[in-house]
Amino acid sequence: MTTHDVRAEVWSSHREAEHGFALLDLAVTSAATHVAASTSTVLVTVEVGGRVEVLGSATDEDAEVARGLHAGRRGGRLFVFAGSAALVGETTVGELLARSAVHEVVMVGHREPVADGQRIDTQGFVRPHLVDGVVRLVVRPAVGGLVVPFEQPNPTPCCADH
Amino acid sequence: MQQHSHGASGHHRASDHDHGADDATSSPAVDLQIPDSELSPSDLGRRGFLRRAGLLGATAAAGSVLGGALPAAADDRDHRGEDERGGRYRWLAGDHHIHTQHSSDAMYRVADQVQHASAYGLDWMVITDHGSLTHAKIGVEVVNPDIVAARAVYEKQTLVFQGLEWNIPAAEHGTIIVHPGSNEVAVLKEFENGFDGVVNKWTATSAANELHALEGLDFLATSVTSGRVDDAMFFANHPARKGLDSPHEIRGWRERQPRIALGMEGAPGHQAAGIKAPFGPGSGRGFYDNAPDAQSFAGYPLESYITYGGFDWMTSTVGGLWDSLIAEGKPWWITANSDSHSIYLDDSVRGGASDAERAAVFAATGRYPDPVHGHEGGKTTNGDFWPGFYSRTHVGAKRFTYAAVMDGLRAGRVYVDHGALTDGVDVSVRPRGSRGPGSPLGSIRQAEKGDRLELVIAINPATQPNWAQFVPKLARVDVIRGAVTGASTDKDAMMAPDTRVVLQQDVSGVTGRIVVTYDLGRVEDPFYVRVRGTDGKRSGVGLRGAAVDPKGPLADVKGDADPWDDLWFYTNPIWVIPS
Repeated sequence: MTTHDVRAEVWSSHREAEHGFALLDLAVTSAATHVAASTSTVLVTVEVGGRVEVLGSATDEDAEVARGLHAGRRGGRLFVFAGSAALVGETTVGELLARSAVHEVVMVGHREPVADGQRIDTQGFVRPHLVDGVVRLVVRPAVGGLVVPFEQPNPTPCCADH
Repeated sequence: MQQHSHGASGHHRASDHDHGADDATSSPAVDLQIPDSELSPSDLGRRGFLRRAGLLGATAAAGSVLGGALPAAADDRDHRGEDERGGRYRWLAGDHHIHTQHSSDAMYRVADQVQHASAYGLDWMVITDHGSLTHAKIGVEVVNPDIVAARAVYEKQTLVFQGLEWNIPAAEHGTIIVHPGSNEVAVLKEFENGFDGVVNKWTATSAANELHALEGLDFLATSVTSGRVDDAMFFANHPARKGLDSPHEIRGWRERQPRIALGMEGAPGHQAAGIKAPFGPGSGRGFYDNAPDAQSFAGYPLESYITYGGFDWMTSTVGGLWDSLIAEGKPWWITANSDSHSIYLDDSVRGGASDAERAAVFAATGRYPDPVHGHEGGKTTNGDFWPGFYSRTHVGAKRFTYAAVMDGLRAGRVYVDHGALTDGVDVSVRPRGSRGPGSPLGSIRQAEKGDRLELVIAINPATQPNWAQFVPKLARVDVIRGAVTGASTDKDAMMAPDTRVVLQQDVSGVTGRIVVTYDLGRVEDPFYVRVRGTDGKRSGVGLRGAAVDPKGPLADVKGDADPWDDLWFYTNPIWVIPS
């Protein structure tokens, strides 16, 4: 195990990594989370000034894989990207595409593009993925004929008191 | 349809029906293609002897249907000659996933769960509180007297198993069921302390932790072979919920202990969770609203994290993971349960003055204070139904006993339904045009190459209202067929490329008993068939395309999944193997 950064931390989930990153208060162009294959922990890659840096404790190999995925736009779960801060409340898919770095919005499962006029409730939590050089947001059908980003802001935790 | 009569009068028995048990082999006495009426007296006498001795019939349980000798009948305990009706089954509705005040996220007494389950028509149920430090130390013991007391009260109506919701090392949760007996608590306690993922801090995904899961299954197997308990079994619960049960782990469990590791929840509990707010929780149906995380199997697609028509992605996808498991020619059965923790619209609350007091009582006594009447009305944020209210696992059992239920589960004589969609589903494979009972769910039909077989699906439509006060109407019956392709070299395989829907039969206009007969053609290569049915209210192209499943269950809508308006039943498979 090699430490890549003085800010190296062991994050056990995407949320934990996002939280850890937020505490650093860094200005970045984009930021993404990745699961490190050898440790099943989460890394953060950040794009700053055209370079991609890796945060979080990881092996050299896992860090390089994550860096390559982000730089090549081939993998990673984006939580900071152009326009991300403004993606709150309800809008249309067309507006979301126009106002952010998201390239495409597709329906879970069949993966067909969702029409520009479709209303989407962002829930203030939009986490698209880098796939095949594009930023793709997967959505699922939601109440009232809307769609919502597949990843939920408050998923039911294991053994929740429900 | 025969009603059996072990219950008290007035006990709801909508699901009971019988069907034949026998499988095919050769020679007059054992060749069940030849009806009893056509046998010579001596052959008939011999058949009767073999039948009573349990020597007629093969089951797929506990082994592969391919290669070498067939496994011994797994339900041998059923055949002690008591079965005077010639091996006919009574279908016993049950639920193997129920929590009580001995789980830190639940609240009801054992008595609350049992009396509701019994009132809603369940014949058997399993109390499965979560494995935890407190439960392993205290809860597993203190729950037992309550269960024993419930057994005495409901002796003739509902069988109450003590089980455990195991935190499978490196994976999800699973139900452990043991046969009642003087060692049931000791075995469960030793198992939980020795092999629970939370108790032993083995929840993380790692090869070492995956091995601990296998060792846990070994322990259960040894507990049976050594005679400490009469029987034990394991089912994976909400398997795709968080992507924690990888395909190779599921295959690994099954291969390590095929008599113990039997299957998974085809449909998770928490079926009220998708009811639209403010009338309901407004969450994902089954509380399936997670996304991949650090511990998830990376090969699972996003769509695996949600339900389709209330069923887990592994089961609801035709040609998906479940089909890939049974296409190997090995059993892996599905069930459907309530996962009851706190009931939709129930107004009771935990006793005790404060959360701190409740937590202290739980830590000290292994259980929360008994629930008390609340004063804020029914809770719309609760996502569960009482056991028997919505989800049922129907087991073809030869008798109303704990052993017979476990034998039926192991044999895969199981179908599941939601919302009491039918009064009974009877599926068998038999020679084309024969009138014999055929080979039941979970069995292997052996046939000569060139034999012509048919699948017969006989359904008693619902005649009484369900627990939502309407009479469900079955609209369609689907037959799903796939090739048996043998053991998968890829332990993480999650597709069965050959499996598809081969018949979609509109039955909406049928009055009275529904019988669908499907010609399986002449037997050439090994294959399996399974059946599902629906009220037809939500159907669309399945995840693997219209050529595989043109009208299958649809992705459940986040925050708007009315469980009563999207009902399905699923059966387990029957294999056909040319000899």
